[in-house]
Amino acid sequence: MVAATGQEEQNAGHFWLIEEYSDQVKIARRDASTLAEIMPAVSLAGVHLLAPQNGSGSLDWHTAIEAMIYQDTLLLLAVDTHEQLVLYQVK
Amino acid sequence: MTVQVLYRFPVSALQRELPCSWLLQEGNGGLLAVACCGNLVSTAPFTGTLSWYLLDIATRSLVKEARAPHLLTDIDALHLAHDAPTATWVVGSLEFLDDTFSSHALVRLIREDENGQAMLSAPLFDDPANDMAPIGPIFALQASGKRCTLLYSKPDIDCVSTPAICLGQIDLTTGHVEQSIIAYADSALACYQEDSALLLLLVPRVGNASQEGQAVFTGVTHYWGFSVAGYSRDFHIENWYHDLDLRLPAGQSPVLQGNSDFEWLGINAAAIPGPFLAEKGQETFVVGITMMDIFDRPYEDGHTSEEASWITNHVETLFCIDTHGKVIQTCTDAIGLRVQLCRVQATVVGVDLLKGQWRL
Repeated sequence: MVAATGQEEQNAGHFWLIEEYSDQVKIARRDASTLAEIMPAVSLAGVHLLAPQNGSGSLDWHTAIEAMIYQDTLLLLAVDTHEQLVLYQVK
Repeated sequence: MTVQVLYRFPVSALQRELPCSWLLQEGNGGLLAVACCGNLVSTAPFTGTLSWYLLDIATRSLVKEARAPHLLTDIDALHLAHDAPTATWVVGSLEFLDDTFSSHALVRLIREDENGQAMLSAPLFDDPANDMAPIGPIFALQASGKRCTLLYSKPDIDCVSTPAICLGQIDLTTGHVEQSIIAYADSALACYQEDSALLLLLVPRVGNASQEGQAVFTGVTHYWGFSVAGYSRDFHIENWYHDLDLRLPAGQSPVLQGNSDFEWLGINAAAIPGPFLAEKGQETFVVGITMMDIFDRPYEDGHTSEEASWITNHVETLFCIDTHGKVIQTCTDAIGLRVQLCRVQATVVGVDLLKGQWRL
């Protein structure tokens, strides 16, 4: 889960939900009040999230998703079908 | 919604594993720095490179690149910070160094040479592990006001003593280094809110609650508890410290014998900057914790998180605490494993895994 912070959060009423499946990563923008999808989700077929680099050494290892908000878009660092590191932008 | 590929890095993440860290440059929103471990050199299994990229998001172009050449090292973790006053990028890492045959916590800077080429400096901070013990994880790396702080775990060689939570403070202009131990904990997490920081600590304790478990437990820990502490953002000043009333007795299972039973616990926690309390003028944190005795699972070849989420012997809490350490609100509903939280204005949204189901 990722939401805007700082100055970007003032007009944001939504958050991004990132779900990883065995064959895809699904990304949806959802309303914070109703939790409903604001618009249809997108899927990145064959893409995987990076494994947490801390293993289970940190209490929040499982939240270590390489995603951040930039100007109301989502930036995601993930691994493509060729196991290459790729920076994606979801608008 | 549409998806664009902004940049494809010339590195592989085999089996999704690649130490990396990234950060938007403060005050210059379009520049994104990414530090990652380069591809291993096939002829030397423990040789890798540390690479740093500065990207312009708007133009999808590479602005600068730096690489630490021929490092005889195995990089386990990378963290990135940026000090705006000195326009300095800071790279924190956990590395296994061949020359000492031990793991180190390191801090390097990105510097430009006389030709304007970005280069990784020699380590400004270097703390080796205790003999053959591991070191890490890194809980925090931050830079501000021409100073940098690195917060990390440093276990003892015996692996029984509670690891130290170490703080390294580095003056980015003089290179002066100060080291201290700010706490002892088996695991932790750090979270920031404006000028404050919160540190959640998993701590083994011995006390009255241990009597019941002692008959079947021969190890060193009588129960596991959590402490929460408030610090200045650079962790230099501890403002408050509380032991949470949340504990899971050790020794629930007669299988536990000797040494630490840490590995038999299933623990997840999350902490985020919480809503601003306008009436009190207070910033807050929201913290969620779940701790369970995974020995409730029948002994097999491991288990999935979904299976673990059915375990009944667990304790958990979800609360909001202000930056003075006062608990503002506690959720009375149970929360599950893998709790994740985010805040949208005054609303906190979360995900967890409860009885085999992901819940939003």
